[in-house]
Amino acid sequence: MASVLVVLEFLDGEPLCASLEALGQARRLGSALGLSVCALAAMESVGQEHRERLGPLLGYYGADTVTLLTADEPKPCEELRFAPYARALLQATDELPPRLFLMADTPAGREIAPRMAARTNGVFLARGDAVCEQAELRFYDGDGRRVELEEPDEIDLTMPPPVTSVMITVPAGRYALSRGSEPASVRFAAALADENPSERTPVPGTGFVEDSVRRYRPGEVFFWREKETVTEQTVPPVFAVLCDECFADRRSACVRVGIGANPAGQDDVQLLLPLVDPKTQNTAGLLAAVEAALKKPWERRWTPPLSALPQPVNDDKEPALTIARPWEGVDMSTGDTEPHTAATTASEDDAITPSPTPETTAKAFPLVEGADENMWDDDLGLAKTQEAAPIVEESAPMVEQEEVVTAPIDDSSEDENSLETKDAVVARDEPGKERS
Amino acid sequence: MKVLVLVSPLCGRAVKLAASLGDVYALALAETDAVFSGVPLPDSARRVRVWDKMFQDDALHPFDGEARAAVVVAQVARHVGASTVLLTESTAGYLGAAVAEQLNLALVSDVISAQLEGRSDPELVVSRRGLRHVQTLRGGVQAVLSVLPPLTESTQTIEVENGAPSTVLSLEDLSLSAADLPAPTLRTQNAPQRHHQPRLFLGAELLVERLRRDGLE
Repeated sequence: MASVLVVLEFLDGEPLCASLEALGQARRLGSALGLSVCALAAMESVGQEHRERLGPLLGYYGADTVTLLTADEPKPCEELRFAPYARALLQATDELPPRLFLMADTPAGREIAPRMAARTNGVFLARGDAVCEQAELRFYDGDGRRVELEEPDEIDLTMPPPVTSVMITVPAGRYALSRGSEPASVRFAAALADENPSERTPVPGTGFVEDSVRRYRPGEVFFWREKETVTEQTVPPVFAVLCDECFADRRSACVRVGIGANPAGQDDVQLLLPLVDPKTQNTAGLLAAVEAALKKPWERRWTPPLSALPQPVNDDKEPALTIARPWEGVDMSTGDTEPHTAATTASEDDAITPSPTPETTAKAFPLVEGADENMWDDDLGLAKTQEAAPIVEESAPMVEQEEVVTAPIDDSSEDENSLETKDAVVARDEPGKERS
Repeated sequence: MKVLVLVSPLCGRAVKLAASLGDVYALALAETDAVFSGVPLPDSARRVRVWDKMFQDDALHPFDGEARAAVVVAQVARHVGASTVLLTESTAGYLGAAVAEQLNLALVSDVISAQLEGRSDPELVVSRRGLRHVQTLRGGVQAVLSVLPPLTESTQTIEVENGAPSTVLSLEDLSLSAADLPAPTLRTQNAPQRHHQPRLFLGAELLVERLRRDGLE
């Protein structure tokens, strides 16, 4: 069975939200196309105390199996890189030849994914997109253009057709989370000693080892500085607010945040905080609110608790493909049920027409709706589901309510990617509904 | 030590790092020498330009274009005997990895700064942007460094002398032929079909919570 490999990054033992979103998309693709979903994690980045809950946790978010990768170096790095895990990664891809390889668009992802593509003769799509359309796996590049793999000129009929792996870095905020129902089985992958060294270099000692790390100074990793304060020596931030005064292109910033209805660099905005007052068009208040929120100490909510995670029923049972959330009301390509808004300069005359929601009949279990905080509910969001709508309506400013578009992400093509086509796919994949 | 640096848009940081590391060989894959104008190359830098009509294929996806460029960059590095190759992070994000793979060398991405330490057996000390830290790595001088572009180029007018004309190399000069360049692997449609809309947050605290879950301190 072909597989989708997702390399997860961890922060204090918890997976990054962007990594979980990549895993969520892998889950949806796996369920739709019959691919197994394998989560890969660097063992050194998952503390001993978190390893026991890793299987249930990642199974909860959609993984079929979890493979912990061991580093070549005895001293773990603070920042994830390709070289220490190269052999373990290559061994994992040998054992589970991936059709698709996903990783969050972080500094580590930007190093590991292209290197894996180069090493395995795969294809790398920075900030790309993998979706299921017309019951097949389709790829889009960072500019939204559909790309197809060229067929090899000569095909050896005596051999199985070669599978070209596609490595994609996934920007934060692009996909919704998914849910699995069974704990994932966890195993370890350690590279054998006689395999090629990490960097495959004939010159000894040319690999790089971590010497030291320095925490970012305030404002160094996330800023909305005015352009005058930016110099050539300024370290490009991982997180950047795109204001009129601040510019950070795709190469320099990993997560681009928009403030206001029409933020600068709107084509690349991933996370958006819309305007409160559309008349004044004033973003100063929002910036101050973000700054105040940043100053508050962060009380991490460990999510979800063990009681909410799926528990193993039979240890001897073979791991089965997890069934994800039902598709109803979900954008098939991204799994989104949450509000998005267009970051375009649409005038008031341009009425936003909601796209038709696919008709569904089966309801296996209620959907979690509302904003992002519901992703992290302690109880699968079931308790909040019935209350979520009024809470969101009360707390959200009117302008947001007016501008919220719950339609699927726009697909401008009119033939195969049309909504009618998606309806058909939704109906076909609906749980509890017989295929016609 | 010979350092090869690829001339590309926003390559100012990479060029300055190269100049601090050793003798600079500035490589451009371009049809004319005009690409060198405006690049703050040191006076002693040697300019190398490689051009072939195969680079002009507009139908190539950027990934395929960078895969082809990687073969040429790697071959030029061998040709001039460069120890270290510096590139600026590319839009397709593949060039550095492909060059490192061609040369069987270590790759460090998201490089902010680099310097040499030691005289008899110099080591390369590289600062790299990580998710939560600025990471300092130490290794041999034979490496590929993929340098982050600066947020802004210098506003000062760069007076670049014409200098010596560049050495123009063809694929044949590099012992390459068209067959050595990788065939295209991607077919692409010109018009974008998917437009990604940002994820909406209903308050500043929710946004900050999300950013912190993605690694913001």
